[in-house]
Amino acid sequence: MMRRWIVHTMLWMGLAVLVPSAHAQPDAARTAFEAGNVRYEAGAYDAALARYRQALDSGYASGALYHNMGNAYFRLDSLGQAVRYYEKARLLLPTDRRLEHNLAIARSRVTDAVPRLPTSPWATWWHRLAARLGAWGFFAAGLLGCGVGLALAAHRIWTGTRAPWHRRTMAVALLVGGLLLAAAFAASLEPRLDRRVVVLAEAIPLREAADDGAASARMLYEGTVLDVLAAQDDWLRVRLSNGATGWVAAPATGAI
Amino acid sequence: MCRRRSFLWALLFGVVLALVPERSPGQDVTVQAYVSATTVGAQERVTYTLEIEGAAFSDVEAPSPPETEGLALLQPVPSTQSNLSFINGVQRQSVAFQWTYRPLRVGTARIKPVGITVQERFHRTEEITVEVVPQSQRTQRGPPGTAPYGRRPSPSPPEDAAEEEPESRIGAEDIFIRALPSQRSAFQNEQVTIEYQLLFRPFIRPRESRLASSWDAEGFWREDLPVEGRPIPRAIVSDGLRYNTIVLKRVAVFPARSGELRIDPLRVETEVLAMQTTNDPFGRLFSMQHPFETVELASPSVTVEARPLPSGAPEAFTGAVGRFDVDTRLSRTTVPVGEGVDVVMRVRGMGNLAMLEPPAFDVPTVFETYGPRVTTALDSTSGRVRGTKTFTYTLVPRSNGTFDLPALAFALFDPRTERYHTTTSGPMTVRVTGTAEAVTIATTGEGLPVDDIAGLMEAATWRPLDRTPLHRSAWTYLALALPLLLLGATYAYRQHRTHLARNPALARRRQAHPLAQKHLQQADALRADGRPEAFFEEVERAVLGFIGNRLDLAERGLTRDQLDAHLAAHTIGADTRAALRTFLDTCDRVRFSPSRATQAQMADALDQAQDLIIAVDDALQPDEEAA
Repeated sequence: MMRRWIVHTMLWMGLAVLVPSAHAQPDAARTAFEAGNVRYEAGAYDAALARYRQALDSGYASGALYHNMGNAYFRLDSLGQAVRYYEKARLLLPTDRRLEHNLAIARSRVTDAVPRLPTSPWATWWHRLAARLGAWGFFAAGLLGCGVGLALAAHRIWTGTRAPWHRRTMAVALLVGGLLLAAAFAASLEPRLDRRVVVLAEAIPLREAADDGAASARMLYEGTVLDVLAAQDDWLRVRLSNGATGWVAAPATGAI
Repeated sequence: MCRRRSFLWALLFGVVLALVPERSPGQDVTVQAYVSATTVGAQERVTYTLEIEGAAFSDVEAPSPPETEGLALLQPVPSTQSNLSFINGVQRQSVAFQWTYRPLRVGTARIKPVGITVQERFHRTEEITVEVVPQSQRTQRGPPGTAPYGRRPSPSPPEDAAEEEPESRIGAEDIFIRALPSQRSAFQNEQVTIEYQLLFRPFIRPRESRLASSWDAEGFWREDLPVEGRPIPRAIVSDGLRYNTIVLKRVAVFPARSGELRIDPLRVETEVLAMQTTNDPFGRLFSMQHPFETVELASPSVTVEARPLPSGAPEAFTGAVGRFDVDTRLSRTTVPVGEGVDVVMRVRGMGNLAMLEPPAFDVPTVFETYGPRVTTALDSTSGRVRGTKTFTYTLVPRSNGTFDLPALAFALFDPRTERYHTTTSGPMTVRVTGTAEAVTIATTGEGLPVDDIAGLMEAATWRPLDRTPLHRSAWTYLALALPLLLLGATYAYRQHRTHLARNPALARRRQAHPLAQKHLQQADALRADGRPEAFFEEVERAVLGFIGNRLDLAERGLTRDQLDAHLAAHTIGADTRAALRTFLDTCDRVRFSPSRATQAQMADALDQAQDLIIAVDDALQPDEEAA
């Protein structure tokens, strides 16, 4: 009887991990989104963008919305904004083939693109999982795992059982639950720790110091994605995808 | 008749001299010396000619005869001749001085260099060697005449021409082909030109030359250069003999590999006529009645040492060797989607133009690339292969935007400096306007457009933008604490239960109040129902049960005295004990009395039970606290 209960609990925990949580579909955002799509298909990209921004202003976002905004900016030849919104969409839709394709097309247009260091398989796997579950998904799954472990512990206290399978199941549940809770906090903190920006100006210098008179190491062109290491007034200390670092003017960039 | 003809010739010559200037200004002067034959019999004569081209008699100081070894001068005063000609509209004039010598002995004779001043400039000829052989070895050839320009006496016609093959009167030195390569050593792919010249003595008249066998240059890529279809013979002096020469073939070859490469001899079959060498024009005319001889001539083979190109070739190098200028341009910088824009690279210069490969052009994938179309325009009239080669890439954009095309690089090897040079095009930016909807776009296997962005996403899953981050939500930490609190409570409760199980007296004491309260409530309910027997039984159970639990006694079966003794042992006062005894008696009496108890009696009994419980509890409290 006890084993059956534990098995059922584990099954529910697995379902909670695999099935993304459903959110209510806000009518205002959906209406503006669909209106933007209609205008995009008619070739009115500026009007489409206005509708998409209206959807964002309603307080909701989605990967599809960011993707379509990237498309509209691309058609308007705003490469920096296109890359920016494609990157935003990728945070929510990390495995979408259409989005990957469009982002690759936009990146191919970037002048003097900085070569990208290869991403480790673990990082790719983590970003995909984090985007699928989100911090709250990790948390729910971790809480469930820990709950199972603690329930088994309570059962152990109450009944005084010392069965090996009981001890092993409890240890596994607590370990898995603990890892999932750690992942939840990591996913929640990541956007604040892993800040990225896109160059929106046509070309800006990468300077060696946060000063307009500082020496320029190289030029960065519209659409280049940068990792933010620090901020100082209107300057950002950034790292390029090839590992080079320097300072850029913050107003010339857009946050992802 | 003869005098009249001579008069007409003289008149015509005089008119020509009167109409043209005596000497063309700026005409180059060349001085050359030659002999009538470099091999003569001991009884033959040798005519030495000193010819000055580009000058008139008035420009030349009369020369002295050259000194000789093995030859004797027959006439100290030279015979002279002046010649005036127009070739391609250019006037040429020349003068010649001739001396005749007689061999003194068999062996090698030498004619020393001679100096002459022309237009106040001194010129000096080369030494000429003449082999004098016994006359018996020269029986087939008559002794050369003394006429100017090495004219020879007319040979006797063969006696039985119909029966026997007529013996050739043409020697190997009288007509031959020489090959003149521009260089004997070259780099791989470097241009080498070879000119095949037919040289023939002035008394030899060739006609209808044709290839006797195929000519090949294995290991070379070759480009034939044009030669004149109706060439005008040019007079030259080679090894002391005067020849006329025409160019048979001119070819540019490019070594395709390194090593020693050999070019086949050029074999030509030609009909030649050895003309009568006489001053008499009629004699010349009759000499042409001799049949033409067919002779086969072959040039020497040419060997070229092909050196490999040095190492360190740039990445863009595809084998261009020579001297080239490169320019690259865009046909336009703004183009609508779907229309073409040309990137044209033009390579001009001298070298292996025909072998040039199109340069690598890594066009952005947004462009559909056609070509390159390659056009080659060669100009071989200068004696070397030069010209222009054009590579045209047509790019058709399939999406809008501004694109920077990669630089187009062209690398060459200059054999003069023996260095590589790379020419790179400047920045080329194409602005593409319009949209891609009107253009048919290819798609990948996944249905995504090639080199353009895919369409919109229709379905959206929404999430609020202002959601509190997990690590900042109080619910997070509450949810984390709750299971731990529950586990702690479980542990505490379990410990409590264990403690009570180990101390039954304490467990009963803790249950005394609740059970007494429960019985009293049931008793009150029985009172309300009007069931006095059951009521008094219940209130008695409440009081005795409470006392039994508080004192940890088995209250059932105790006599009144035993109960009183236990109470007294626990310092319960006498009043309380007496009241208990009275209460128990009342309960027994009412339970077993035939008359029914009233509601007032039952209410009094309930109050007494409560009072007794409180009194017993108060009396036991100090003992328990002390314990």
